[in-house]
Amino acid sequence: MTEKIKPANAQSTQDSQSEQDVQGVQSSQSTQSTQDSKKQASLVAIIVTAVIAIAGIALWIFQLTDGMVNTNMRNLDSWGLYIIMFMLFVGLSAGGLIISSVPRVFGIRGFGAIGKVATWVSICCTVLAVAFVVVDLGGPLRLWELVAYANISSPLMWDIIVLTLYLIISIVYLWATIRTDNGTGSPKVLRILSVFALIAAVLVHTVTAWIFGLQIAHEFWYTALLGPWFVSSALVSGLALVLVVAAILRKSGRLELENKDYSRMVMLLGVFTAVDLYFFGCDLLTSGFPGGTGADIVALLTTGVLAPYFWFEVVSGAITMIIAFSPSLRRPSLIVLASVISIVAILCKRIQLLIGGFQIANIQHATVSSGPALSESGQAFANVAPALVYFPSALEFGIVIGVLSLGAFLLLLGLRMLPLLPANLQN
Amino acid sequence: MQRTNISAENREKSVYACQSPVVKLANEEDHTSLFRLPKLTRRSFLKTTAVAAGTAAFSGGAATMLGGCSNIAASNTATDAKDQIFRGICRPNCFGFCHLNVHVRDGKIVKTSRADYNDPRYSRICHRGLVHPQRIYDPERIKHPLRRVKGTDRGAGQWEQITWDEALTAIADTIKQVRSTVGDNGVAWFPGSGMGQATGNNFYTRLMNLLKSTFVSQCLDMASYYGIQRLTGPSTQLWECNEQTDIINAKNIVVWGGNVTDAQVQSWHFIKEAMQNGTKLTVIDPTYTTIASKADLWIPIRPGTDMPLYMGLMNIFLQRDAVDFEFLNKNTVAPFLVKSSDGKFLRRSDTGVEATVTKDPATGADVTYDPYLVLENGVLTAYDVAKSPDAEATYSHNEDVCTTAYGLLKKEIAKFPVSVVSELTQIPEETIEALADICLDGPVTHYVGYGPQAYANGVHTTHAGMCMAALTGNLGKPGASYGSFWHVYFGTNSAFGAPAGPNTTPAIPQIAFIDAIRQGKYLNDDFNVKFLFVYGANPINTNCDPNAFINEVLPELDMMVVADPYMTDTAKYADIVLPVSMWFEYTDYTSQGQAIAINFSEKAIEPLYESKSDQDIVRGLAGALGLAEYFKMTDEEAMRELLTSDLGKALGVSYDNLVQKKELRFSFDNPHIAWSGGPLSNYSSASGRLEFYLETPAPRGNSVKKVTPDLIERERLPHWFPPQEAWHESEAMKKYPLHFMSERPRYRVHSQWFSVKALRELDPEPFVKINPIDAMSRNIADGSYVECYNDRGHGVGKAVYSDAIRPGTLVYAKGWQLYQHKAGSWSELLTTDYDVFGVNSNFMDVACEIRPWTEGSEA
Amino acid sequence: MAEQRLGMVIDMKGCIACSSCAMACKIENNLPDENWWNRVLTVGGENRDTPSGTYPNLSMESMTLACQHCENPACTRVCPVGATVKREEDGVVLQDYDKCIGCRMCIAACPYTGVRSFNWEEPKYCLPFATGDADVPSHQKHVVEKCTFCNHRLAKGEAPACIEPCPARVRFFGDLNDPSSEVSKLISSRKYQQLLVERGTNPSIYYLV
Repeated sequence: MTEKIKPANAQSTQDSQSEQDVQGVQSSQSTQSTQDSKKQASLVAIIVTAVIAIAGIALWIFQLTDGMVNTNMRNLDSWGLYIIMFMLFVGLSAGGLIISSVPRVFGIRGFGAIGKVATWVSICCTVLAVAFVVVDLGGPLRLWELVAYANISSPLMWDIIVLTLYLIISIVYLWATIRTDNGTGSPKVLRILSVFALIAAVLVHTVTAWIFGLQIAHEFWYTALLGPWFVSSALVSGLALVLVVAAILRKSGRLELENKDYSRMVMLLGVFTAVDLYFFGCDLLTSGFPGGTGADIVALLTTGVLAPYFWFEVVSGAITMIIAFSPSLRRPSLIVLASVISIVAILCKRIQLLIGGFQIANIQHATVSSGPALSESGQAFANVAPALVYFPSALEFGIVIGVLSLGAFLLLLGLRMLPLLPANLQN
Repeated sequence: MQRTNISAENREKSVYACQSPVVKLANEEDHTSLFRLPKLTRRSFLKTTAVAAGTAAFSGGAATMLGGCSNIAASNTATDAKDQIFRGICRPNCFGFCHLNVHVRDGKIVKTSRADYNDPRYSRICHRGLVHPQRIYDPERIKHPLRRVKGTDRGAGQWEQITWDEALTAIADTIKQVRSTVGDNGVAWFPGSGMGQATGNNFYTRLMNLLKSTFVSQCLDMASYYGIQRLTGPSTQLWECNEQTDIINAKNIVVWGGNVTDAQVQSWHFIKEAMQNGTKLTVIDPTYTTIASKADLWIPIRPGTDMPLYMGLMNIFLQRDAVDFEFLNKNTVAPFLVKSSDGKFLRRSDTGVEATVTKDPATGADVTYDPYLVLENGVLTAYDVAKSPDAEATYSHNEDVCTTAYGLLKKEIAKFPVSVVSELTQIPEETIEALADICLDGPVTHYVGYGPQAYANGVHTTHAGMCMAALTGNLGKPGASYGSFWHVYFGTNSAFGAPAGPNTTPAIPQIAFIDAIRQGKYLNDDFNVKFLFVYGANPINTNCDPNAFINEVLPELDMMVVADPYMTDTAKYADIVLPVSMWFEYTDYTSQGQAIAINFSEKAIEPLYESKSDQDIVRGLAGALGLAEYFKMTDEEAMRELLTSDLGKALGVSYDNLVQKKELRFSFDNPHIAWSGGPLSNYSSASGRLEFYLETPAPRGNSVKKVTPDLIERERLPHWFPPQEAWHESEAMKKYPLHFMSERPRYRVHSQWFSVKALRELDPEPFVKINPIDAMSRNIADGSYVECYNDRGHGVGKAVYSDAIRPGTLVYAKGWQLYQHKAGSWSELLTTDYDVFGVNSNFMDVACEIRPWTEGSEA
Repeated sequence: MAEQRLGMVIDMKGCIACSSCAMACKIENNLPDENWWNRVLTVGGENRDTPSGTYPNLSMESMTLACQHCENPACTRVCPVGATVKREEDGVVLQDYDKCIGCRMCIAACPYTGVRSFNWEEPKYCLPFATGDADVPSHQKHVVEKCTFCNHRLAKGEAPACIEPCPARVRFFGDLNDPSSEVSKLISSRKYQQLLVERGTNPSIYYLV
């Protein structure tokens, strides 16, 4: 059944309710109580996520005082879950912004009411991405040095600059979108802003990719393809996240979205997935074909310790594409499934990239590998063991949950406080 | 600590806030190290005000989180004062005796660095010498005298702290009591080689001689020297061959069962430099050791078969007519005629001519002249008259058929054609021939290790080896050498050790000690040792079969005292433990090692805790024993006395010279060439020649084993018999098919440095190296825990796959303390059985089996 | 072009894996527990001090690995705050503990496995006082550190602490831009190899083979 889209500048609830006085006090009363309970539920959720976020901060302080030795990162694998999540969330943040800006840039029909929510999701994800970098730092109190001593040749520096710009642009874009929807903004300015937003979104992922892709130290990372590939992964995960959020909001009645639009989005997800897997395939073939050290990388992914993550991504991609391109399968439940596994698939991708980069050491001659200085999985008499060189510790999971909770908190807060949703569904 | 104000420009150049701007570097002639740098300018002189000492105690998390302010929070003061530097001699039994600069700052030894020998070729230091700061302040240092709590078991670790007075009184009382009830020989002193200083050890000697105690002498690596020295005569040195600075003169170096790169790191560069100069290196070893990996030729040999290999080489020399008869006839007993009746040399007195006696003009002593007889062109001649005696001949003396010693040796050699040798040694025939080429391409330095001699047949390896060297005249010349090198200063004033005359109680070798205790008899005397004082030694760890020591020796003792700086395995089993100061906490000197030097070691810091030097311990004990009058001298007076002798004078050795020069060489020749005929470089056998045939073979030392006539016959010439256990046909191997061998790991010196943190980071726990073939057939995974065991005991450690290990053998590293093993220890498997002639610890002659081990397995 | 190019030559043929150089560094620089800037590597089997091959056809060598003080360092490029820099005058790559924000980008960028170490916790020391040279900067939690060619010794005209103690006498240090220096002479007269040359870092450590 097609639901009508309410105009974005709808009047307040009270107005519409008075119009429907005759219709049924009962129905408005039930709507009211439903809305009340939803309001209460949302408040509870906000409080809960805030508490978890604060617990996360406490864990982070513990990490800083007692030492990062409480993570499982070590010298032979110096980055871990935090940077994995950073990559993931940079990717997730793209989707929202691209979904809302692309239609405007090209003057095509958008995906409806999802636009502002998508942008807010994007902003939250960007904040989380930054948060993940901060919790990964050994000396976060020295962050001011990034401004004072900025080394412009560093891809990390570029990423910090671009991420900051991206955050600003996202916020400005959201503000502009809200104003335009309210009728106070200028659609022309918004369109220009959309262009910048789109460029920024692409730039953010490319630059993030360059943190890895420019490092000749790691054969696993060093490829020109990484930039475009991060963009495609971002599109997959970002769009999937928007689809998930949309599904939740639809379910709770706070968002109305035509199934047609919903379907179009999932078809787009299928296309993005295809592109992402295509890039993956190209890279794998390029690595493996000469049969040299690249073959070790292929083996690591397909049959080695990273195989579970690799195959999950591939199978998930296949399932997503099937769902996306089969009209009969484009049902809400399957769409949500495809979205969720897509996000997990991209998480798997990040895991492969990060751990894979460290898993195969450049210099593998036997040496002392015991003690926290080098690697927990090393032994005194052997070089890096064939086991996974890194797996997160409980503390890392704890802090990640805290940061995710912070994101949920921001998301919920935004949904509650900002005019992101269509007016008649707004609380 | 003040932070220096660094301008932005300077900060860019010198990224440490603690440092001044960088020195501009330019070429200059003057340099003390390998790195050329100009003299420092005033501006570049390092400002030490900004230095942080980096203590763990300071700042904690908060300060470091303040980013750039961390240095301000550092607690240590500026260190403008320069470090004090003392000369210290590192002196475990690694033969190194390295000169160290001991750096002291604020009363703590903060580092050591290499100090030079007068001959820079001997300058050296190693990672163990470099980690002294961690060793000296190690928590395992014994801080106070301790006594086992009454009623608790030995080894249970229950201690009560006592004063020195209480300790020394208790010890003295026990000594007095044992002497009066059992006799003087009931008090025994058990040294090791751990504390290499002269004065301390001489103090113990002095005291034990005064007490007429039993001295339990070391039996470590003795077969190697004995197999040579019974041929050359009781020379001033035990382990004698050409000095290491002579190695460069060799055309070929052959290393026999010695892992020079790991066991004597300081000696490797001599071999390396020779190789860079064109010398070829051959290594003969069952295991692919580090030095084997450097060799031009590595010959894997079946363990325990060095002797047949030597014989095989001699067999080839004979076939190739490569024997140096001129050398043999002049320097050895080769032409001497051996009577078949009694196995002795034919002397002129045997032919009825009386010995003549003359007076020595120098000393006035009687000199008897009764020359050995040789044949010269078939005519009996005095050996010192014959110009060109017959090496191979027989002579009928009455009914007694005499054969030349060389003729007898040749008969033995004939038993070892290459095919037989190849089968025994498992070395291909062409390789043996190639080795013969090498041994004939001299001068050859045969660098003899201590591996092959640690078997029941160990004595005959070096006996045969010396024969081989003699056959080609490869002795007594630059580059031509056979043996292991370790010199002890012979000019020590021995009167110091025996102020009341010689000790009438016989010494007993450590390897025979357990046997004697079991039997209660030694050399026809009752033998009931009730008191044992262990110093510089860790027998429960490093000697064979610690279980025997714990279960058979300890129960007999009323008291065992261990004097050691560290709580070793043996200390844990003591009744009283005395804390000994470490080497840089008192002044002393060393007079042994491979650099032929007397080395002066200065006191750098005060003794830690309540520790005392060995000298002071002996003084205290002597006082409690009423012998204080013999120990009135100060350390300096003692050193003066020890270093004053005629021989010392001839060498320019004196205490004052030593203090001034820090190092005095005690050799008349440089380089020292053994058996070259120079002073103290002569054969000192009865005949004055290399007695490769022994008239009167005698055991190296007393023991409780009987010397039978057949054994005497066995010992006259090199004689082959297999190892006792480590042999595929032995009884032991029927049950325990693997050969259990040890290596001297670079991360300890025997059991010293056992708990030093940095070394344990590199070498965390006991392991045994196993060839993957042997491991996999026993389901042993790489890095898993395994148990090595035989009838005597077991040890648990990690298995390490190594293709360097000869299949059928296992290699473990010596020196792990008991508590570092998961269970047992490697030494438990070793045998205390010994060869009656060698009287040596047969560390390598061990059979065992290995199996996987899990926590909680049957102990 | 730097005025001097300080570098090291290590004769692998003579290296016996004794770890004296590693230990000298550890004591001199008062390295925290478990922290090693210089490590011995076995070029051979899977386990340390074991050879490759099957008994008796075996091969084994050893070498030491620390910061290569590259001419074209990957680390200095990527440090966002310039805490690691290559000094113009002599080419030494240095680490500023006070600036380091602990992002560990340099560790990710450096191809030489394990030469950079991060202090994952407050540095622990088995001794209650600092060892080594008094001028060594103190170690900090959560910053990266590595071999500095003993910068504090260079300032005093001394070679790094790991050079002299080598009992095998196979370590050499000097100015690679000076043709008369020992290091220059060694690499012009003997065959050598360098590590990971294909990564384009142009290391200043030469291994004679």
